[in-house]
Amino acid sequence: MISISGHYYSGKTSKATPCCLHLQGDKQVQLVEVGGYFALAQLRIPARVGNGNRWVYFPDGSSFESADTDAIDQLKQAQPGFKLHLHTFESHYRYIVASLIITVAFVVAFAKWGIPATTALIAHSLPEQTNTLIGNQSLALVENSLFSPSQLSQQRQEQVLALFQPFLAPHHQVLIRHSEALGANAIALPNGTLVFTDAIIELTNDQELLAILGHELGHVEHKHGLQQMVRSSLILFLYMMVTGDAAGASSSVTALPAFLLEQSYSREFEREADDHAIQFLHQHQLPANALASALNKLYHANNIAVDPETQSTNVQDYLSSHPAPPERLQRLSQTP
Amino acid sequence: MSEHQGAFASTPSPAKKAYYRVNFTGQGGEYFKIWIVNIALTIVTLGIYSAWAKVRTRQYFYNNTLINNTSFQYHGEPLAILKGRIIAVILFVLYSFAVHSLPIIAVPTFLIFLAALPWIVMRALAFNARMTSFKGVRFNFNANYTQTLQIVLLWPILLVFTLGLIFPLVKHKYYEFVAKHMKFGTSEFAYQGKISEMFIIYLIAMAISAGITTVMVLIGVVFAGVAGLASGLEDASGVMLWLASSGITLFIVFYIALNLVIWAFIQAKTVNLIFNNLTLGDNRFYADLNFSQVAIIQFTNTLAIIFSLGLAYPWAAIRMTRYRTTCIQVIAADDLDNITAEQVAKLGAVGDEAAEVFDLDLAF
Repeated sequence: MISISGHYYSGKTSKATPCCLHLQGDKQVQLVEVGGYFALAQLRIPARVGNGNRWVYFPDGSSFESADTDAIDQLKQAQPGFKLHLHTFESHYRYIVASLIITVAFVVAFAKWGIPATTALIAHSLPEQTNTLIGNQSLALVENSLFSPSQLSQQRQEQVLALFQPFLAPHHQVLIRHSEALGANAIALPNGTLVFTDAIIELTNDQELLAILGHELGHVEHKHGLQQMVRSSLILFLYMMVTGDAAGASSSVTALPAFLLEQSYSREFEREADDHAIQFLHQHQLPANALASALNKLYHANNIAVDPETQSTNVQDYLSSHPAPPERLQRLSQTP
Repeated sequence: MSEHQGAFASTPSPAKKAYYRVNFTGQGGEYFKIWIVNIALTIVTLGIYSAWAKVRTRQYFYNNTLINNTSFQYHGEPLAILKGRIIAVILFVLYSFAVHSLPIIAVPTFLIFLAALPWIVMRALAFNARMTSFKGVRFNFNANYTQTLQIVLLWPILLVFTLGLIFPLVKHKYYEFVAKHMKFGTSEFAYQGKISEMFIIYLIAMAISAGITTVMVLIGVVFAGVAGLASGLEDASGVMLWLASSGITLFIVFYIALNLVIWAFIQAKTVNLIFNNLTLGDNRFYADLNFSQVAIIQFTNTLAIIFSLGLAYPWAAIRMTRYRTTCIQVIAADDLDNITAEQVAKLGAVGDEAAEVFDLDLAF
């Protein structure tokens, strides 16, 4: 016979009545001090979670509370029907270790392969119009704040456009703009618009400009802009999944890993675009070292150290959106 | 039972007054096991288990929160929560795509979201209240759409026009609103805090912020001075690089510390203000959270979570919950035994799940 001591609550008022619950035979329970009888099968007994207080709910809305978890478990065990023993999972070390392995493996695999693969899949399956729309919008957004009309001569601008023309597909569009903020730089928008700054055109020769064009076309080809947008949502999803509720963690804690992860994917994109540029140079029989020499000039112009000795690349690598210069140049010099 | 009685236990009580300190019996190690199993099962069931995970987590925290040895109860049904969660996630995905597309779609979508916001908040508060009971008596929350609209839209919109200056007033209105419509059985809660007290909390927070910022600026000046001296050297690049990187590191450390201290201060003082001015019928509450204690717990929690790559989360959550709950006392007029229960209607979980998915912060 199971006998459990605890408190009875009528469900009509908050009055606690000290009470003993007896299991009589195997079908009926008696609330001794209260004088009620209930069929065991009709009781609702929530499964055990840790070692908190346990509750038994009766069909008339009354309830019974007890701190005697083991006795309540026996009572639940005596009930007919299927029972899911979640507490077993939560109290045996082999299940805990297995859970830990599953979780860590999932998080690592999802970050390494899941996010890039899913973003690429979504980005490439969205209709071309999405790219056009986003590109038009982002251009409109930055056109006035980042750029001003080019200060190069009309003749030089036409020269550059003519140089690029044979390599462009119909959906590509090249713009030349002056930009104080970006300096010597080129950016690719999802709709195929490529913006070259005055400074980058002044800095580099024709072959180097073409190498940079190849790099930017790589961003467009691989839909990096769109992937970046999809990815942010996925990282957020991953984070929500792991922490469940982020009640205890402050927002600065939650933002940091997401930021680091974003930057590491961004570096992967740059590598992909570099590869595209090398292929582009090769395909059009241009000198393979044009990209490396363009990068060297850009690093020099922007005062970025190239010598691996002077750099603490490890920490910076995680913070940067581009691969570390020495690593990037080394990769380029290894390509045949 | 005597060990759960609060600091006032020795106070002579003419009426049958009882002082109960809220007790929290959750353990970091115990919660870790529940948490990790929850995540693993959620992964292998492709997210379906997350509804069961939520219920078990809630039950763990509720069943370990005790007043006078009686625990809180959570009644959320996993299947109902799963249903609500699926609908909420679908809505969220549609919303995310819509607001990132053409303005012609994005603007109306955002307006629809704004119109739905009071409904979401109202249903989430009601769902959580009705799924909670204590001593066999359910909590309840009843506010209508217009009342909620004022609190979650009108006041925040005014915030924009007053450059954020009325933020404490908006907070005050929110707590007043939640308390006013919250019931425990047939007993009603009421919040009688003064608006001025809420303003004082934020004024002091601003003063602390200004103080720390001054220190930051002074350090910045020192660094700039050293940099100026160093630039006169033959080979300055190494020194400059060191100055720049350590300067940035210091700045980040100060920024995080500032955020933490301000957050802890506002948290602690707000919880104290709310509970010290909250009544439930003839029952009152008392909270004495210490803000430096909250800051220390939050700081060490943050470090533990970062260096354990997230695995210390359950321990951190338990630690903070334990401190926050055990700082609260109930000043009961009569043993809390005479509260009359009231039938509460069933409610879908969509609002509560939407509040979670859209990351609305409804807690204090």
